Amino acid sequence: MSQAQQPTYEFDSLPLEPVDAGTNLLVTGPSLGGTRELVMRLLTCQSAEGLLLLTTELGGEEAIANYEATGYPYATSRMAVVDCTQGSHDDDDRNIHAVSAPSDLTGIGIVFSSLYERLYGAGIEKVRTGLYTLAPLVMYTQEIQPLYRFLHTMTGRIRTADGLGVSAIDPESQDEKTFRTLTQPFDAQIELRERDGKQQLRCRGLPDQPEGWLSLDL
Amino acid sequence: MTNGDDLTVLCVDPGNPTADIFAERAHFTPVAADDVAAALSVADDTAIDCVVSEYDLPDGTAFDLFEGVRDRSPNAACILYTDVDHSAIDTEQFQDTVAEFMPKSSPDAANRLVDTVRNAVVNRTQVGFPLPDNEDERLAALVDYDVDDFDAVETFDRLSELVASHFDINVAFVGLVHEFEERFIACHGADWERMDREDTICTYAILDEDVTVIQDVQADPRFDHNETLKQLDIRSYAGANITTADGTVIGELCLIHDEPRTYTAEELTDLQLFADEVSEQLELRRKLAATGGEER
Repeated sequence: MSQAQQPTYEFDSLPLEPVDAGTNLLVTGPSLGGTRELVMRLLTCQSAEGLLLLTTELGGEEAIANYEATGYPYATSRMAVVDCTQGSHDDDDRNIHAVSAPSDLTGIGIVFSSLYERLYGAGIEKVRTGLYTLAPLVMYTQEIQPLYRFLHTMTGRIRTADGLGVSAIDPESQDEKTFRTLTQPFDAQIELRERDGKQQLRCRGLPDQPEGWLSLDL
Repeated sequence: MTNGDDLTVLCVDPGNPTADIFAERAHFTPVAADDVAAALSVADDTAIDCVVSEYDLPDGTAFDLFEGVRDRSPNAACILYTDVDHSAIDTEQFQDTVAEFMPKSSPDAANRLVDTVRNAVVNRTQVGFPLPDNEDERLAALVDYDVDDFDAVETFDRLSELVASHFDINVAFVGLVHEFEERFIACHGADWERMDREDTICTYAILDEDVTVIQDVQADPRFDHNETLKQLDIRSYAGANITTADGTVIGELCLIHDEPRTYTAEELTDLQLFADEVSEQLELRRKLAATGGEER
């Protein structure tokens, strides 16, 4: 199969080449340094694409507002939110589905899979999944084994369904060894940093991407 | 996996022919059961690759079943196959179980269920530990190092004893990290033979090129809730990679102590040298076994 026939995901507002369908990206950067904005830009959907947004720190409505701040509309016909924050509740009009807490990895996984199936049933073939952020899942999960089960299950579904996964974590929120082993289920990393008041990103593990640090405005 | 390359799929869906979906296809061995108790009694005697279950069962829910199956086959993939809406599924008591979910009403559900099962097992999408990027190649390489055939136990026992004495620690072992378990081919200071891979620190150490040192296991968030390590009094850990001739990591030479402790740079260099010795001994015996095989 030639490269042109492979489905890819494009990033209109970022200095990145399209990535192959089935790729799981881990965005690493400071929580207050534009990581959220970068994740939302990676998730901005073309008109036929679907979006599943798993939010663990911000409520569902706020997560949608963050997505819409990229200038792209949130369309409930092909987009949904899994609100994993404490005290979250369903909102049918906004297609927000609540999970009791970020510690409920089983619940998050099942709602995610169920919504993925609904998009598939609606004929939406390309789906971007965002997980912002991993940190509460790590914090509230006592044993590490369920966290790996969850991450493998989520990234495995995205890989086989030709989706795009964009998860994020602040490396500073974990000890270095934990952070390094958490990167394993992902195919590639996009690092974000600030230098001389400007933001820069760098790709690691992705073929056909520009090398080194690239400037961007978030 | 049991039955050669066939996948054993435990199907628990009273009154519905879920098992038939797999019976019609090659490379699956379906086993049907009608409730949690019957399914677990199957799992007592059979290694399960995957369990596919309806949500509501006569004597519990799918999650009771998944927990029970994983107690017996820790790496069994668990798939909820149901028409119950996700909003009606209660995960409160099973927050750590984690399972895949496939609605029966999905388009082409039966075929996609089969694909989901195959993917979950073959691509190990529900394992509770990180996997090296070269896991398939690593496992293929490991097949050539079947130490039971090497008649080398005494060599590695001797080496473990020497290592324990050199570093003045409680336990020294040589462990090979297999698909779902670590097998200790020599162990001085304890009588460990195997551990589930998801419980071992070596599972993490094989991801690292350098010697892995965990000064205090109880202070490492990856292991501080690991009951198996607590029970075995594994309080500090140092492990150096055992590699094949082409550099593939197949196991670890490890130092275990029942108190937190540190190692000097010289000690870590020594540990890697001992590990290199183990690697070389394994390589020699692999070559010997290969040659012996030809002669026979």
